[in-house]
Amino acid sequence: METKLDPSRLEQIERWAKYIKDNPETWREQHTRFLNDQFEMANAALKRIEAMPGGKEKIAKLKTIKSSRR
Amino acid sequence: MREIADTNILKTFCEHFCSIVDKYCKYIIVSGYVAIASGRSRGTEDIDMIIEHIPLETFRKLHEELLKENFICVQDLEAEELYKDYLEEKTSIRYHKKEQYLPEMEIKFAKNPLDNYQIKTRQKIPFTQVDVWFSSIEMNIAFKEEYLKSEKDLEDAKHLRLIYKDQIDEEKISGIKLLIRKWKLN
Repeated sequence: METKLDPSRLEQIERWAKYIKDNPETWREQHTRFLNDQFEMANAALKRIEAMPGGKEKIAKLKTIKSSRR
Repeated sequence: MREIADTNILKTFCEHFCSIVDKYCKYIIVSGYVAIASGRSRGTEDIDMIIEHIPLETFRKLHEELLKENFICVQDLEAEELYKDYLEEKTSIRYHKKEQYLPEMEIKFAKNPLDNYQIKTRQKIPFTQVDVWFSSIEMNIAFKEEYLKSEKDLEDAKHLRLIYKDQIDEEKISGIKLLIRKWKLN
């Protein structure tokens, strides 16, 4: 079945690509902050899980799920 | 006020990892990170890497250096098991930094002529400002539109088409799509 893209998401992609082209000096800083925030939040959550009883085992299970779905 | 880092976590992680792999074999970064390094604003947990097929002893040295450089392999096994039970079986292995669970690097061996072709035609992409070898923009667009085809992949392809609009070779994309149909879809 053909995957159809949501028109509003397509518009967002077009808007952001235009922003990148029009603002070569500023887009990268916003993008960096966006990426870093995701990893900082995810790693902080994983550290909290790790500190819980059985936390390391939970994380190992999460990693197994991730590996097996590929 | 919070400070904004000069460099992003993915770029630092990717360049460090690739600088080690580069000593032992040819590699390419493919798929999502090509789009993200080109400005696509979406989440990811990992970076996908294809490496040329290398002998066990070379892999052992590579794995040992990665461990020495504070990377951890998610599949907590000896090099020989990783090589024989995973890489040789066309299954990927994953590494992350010891102090951080994410991001991860997912590695697999090149497994068909199309993967080898991607490695042969690898390129640096100056716009990304990430100093690693990528598979070509045309290759990534073709894979995402012809083979992967999820919503996320089609959006990545759209982003790449917009960013590299003036540099993309459409004939090349069509040619790669033919190769994908031959090697991946049959």
